[in-house]
Amino acid sequence: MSIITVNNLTKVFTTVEKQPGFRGSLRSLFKPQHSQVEAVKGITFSIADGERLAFIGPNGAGKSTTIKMLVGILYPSQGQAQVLGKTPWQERQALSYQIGSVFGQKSQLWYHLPPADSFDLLAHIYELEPFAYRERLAELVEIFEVEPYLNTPVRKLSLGQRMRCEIAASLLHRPRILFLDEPTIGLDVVVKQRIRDLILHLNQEEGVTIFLTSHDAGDVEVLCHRAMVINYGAVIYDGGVNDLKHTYLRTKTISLKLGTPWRGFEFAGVSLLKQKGYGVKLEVDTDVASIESVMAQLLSQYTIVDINIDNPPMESIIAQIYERTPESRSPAVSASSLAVE
Amino acid sequence: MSLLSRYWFVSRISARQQWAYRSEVLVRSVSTVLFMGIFVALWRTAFSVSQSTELSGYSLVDMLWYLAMTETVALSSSRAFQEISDAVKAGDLAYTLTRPMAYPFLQVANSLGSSAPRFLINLVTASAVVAVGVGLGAGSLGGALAFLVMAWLALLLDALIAVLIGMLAFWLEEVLPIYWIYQKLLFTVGGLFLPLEFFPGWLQRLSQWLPFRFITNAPARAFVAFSFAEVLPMVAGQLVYIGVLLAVVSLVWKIARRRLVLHGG
Repeated sequence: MSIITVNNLTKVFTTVEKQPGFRGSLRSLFKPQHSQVEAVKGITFSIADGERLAFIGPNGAGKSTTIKMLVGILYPSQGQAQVLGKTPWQERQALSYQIGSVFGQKSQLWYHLPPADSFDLLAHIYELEPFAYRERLAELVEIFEVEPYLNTPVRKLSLGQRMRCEIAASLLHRPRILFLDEPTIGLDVVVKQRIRDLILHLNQEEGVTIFLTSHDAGDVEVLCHRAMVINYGAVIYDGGVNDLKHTYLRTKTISLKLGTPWRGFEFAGVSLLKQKGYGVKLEVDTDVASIESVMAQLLSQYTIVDINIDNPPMESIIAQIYERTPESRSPAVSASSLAVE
Repeated sequence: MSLLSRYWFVSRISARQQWAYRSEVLVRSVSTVLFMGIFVALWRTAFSVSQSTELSGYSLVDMLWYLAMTETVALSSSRAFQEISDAVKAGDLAYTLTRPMAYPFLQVANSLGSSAPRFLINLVTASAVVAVGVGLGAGSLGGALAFLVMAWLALLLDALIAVLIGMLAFWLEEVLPIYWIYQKLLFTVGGLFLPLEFFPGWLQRLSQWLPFRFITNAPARAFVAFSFAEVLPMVAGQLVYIGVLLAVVSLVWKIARRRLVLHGG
């Protein structure tokens, strides 16, 4: 069952362009030059209940704009969206009881007060029954292990401690969908892992649908089973996280331990990455050469003691997607200037 | 009822957050002491030069207590305009907008809460300076009670205006100049520095009908010259303006939401 359906969702921002200098200021006052930026261009997708979706793309790709339309903050220029059967920008308040959001770079906790106070306030805002609230709070405090700093002013918490409180705060009202915008930004490796475990736990134990944006390849790989890649306002990939590798991966690395000394290897599409003694690392461009043919050739030339074939890390796959030149697609920033009389 | 209790809770938590800045507010109250000290010296001189015991119906003691009360309200006034325009500029509305509450009224509740601790500190400081300068001798129990009620209504009215100014940030790049205009109107036709009775007849009549006097003049006037005949119409005026602004704020918010452009991705 689809919990989110998006159809041809489009957002065009109109901005006033200002020429530099005082003359430019005057000109923009009397004869403003408007330019239109298509931040999201007619995207269509649907998400099933209980999915864990990673929404990835470089800065300015349209990720946040999409999230903000789905939670009802922004009105789209065109297109439809249904979140839990509601049109977000028309039924924002009713929807807000059923969705939660975590914005990694912002805070919803009161800075000078302990998290417990912010939790109490949220319980009031979401009209939770006192008993149900206490029960839910106890549950979240246990899962997120925030007991020790429940009564410490937020300003004194570390980023990792605060982030756990932020996520717990977003879950008090038992949302069915959790939107996470860069939840692990700025956290160290151990804390990142802890946050990922918690999000995974929520999805598995409570069936919360996870909609995550991240720049962290680890978040995508560990947390999500489905990935959607957005760039220049359009969805350029939608499928399994594992398939993402196959789609974008055009190289594999072969690590060998040889039984005989290295004498070089000539093969179209294969390049030497590293060689030290009997250890060799090769990169294969799978568009040019198949792994099978490379292996066959290697086995005919060398005695091989040990072999490993690896995919490059998620990190480089994402980097590869971002680096893809938009030549084949029309750029999103089509600054068609419209002089307004 | 539960709807109002949410706003009440927002006010409470906001007051507690503001309380964390109490030492900062205390330091700022040095300027209150300075202001009130200057007023004491100024009006002493004015009264002695004019050689009369009353000016436009105010004795020296009345005058200074009047000023202590207008200053108390003005110094505790809302900064919601700043908060809203900062949030609009920085794109920080993401969290507050996803709550099941109307954003502008959340800001009003927020503003009232953060005004409360400042109001208490300003009231104590300004009263102390005037009491030391010219003694007690003004006001009454009825006047004090009327002041407390009317000051609260005044701060609510002020918060609504501040939120309205803040929402202009959806159209304007900078709302501070608009706030300055509002502030100067409080100084003058709001009767902050001079009771309305000192104005020429036409200006007095005009000021009486403008919203600004209901913020600064009305509560202070109720304190120094309490009578039901005078206080009730002023409270009614406050309530009418609060009602009008509630409607205007809701309407402007409806329009603003549609043109909301969140900065920062």
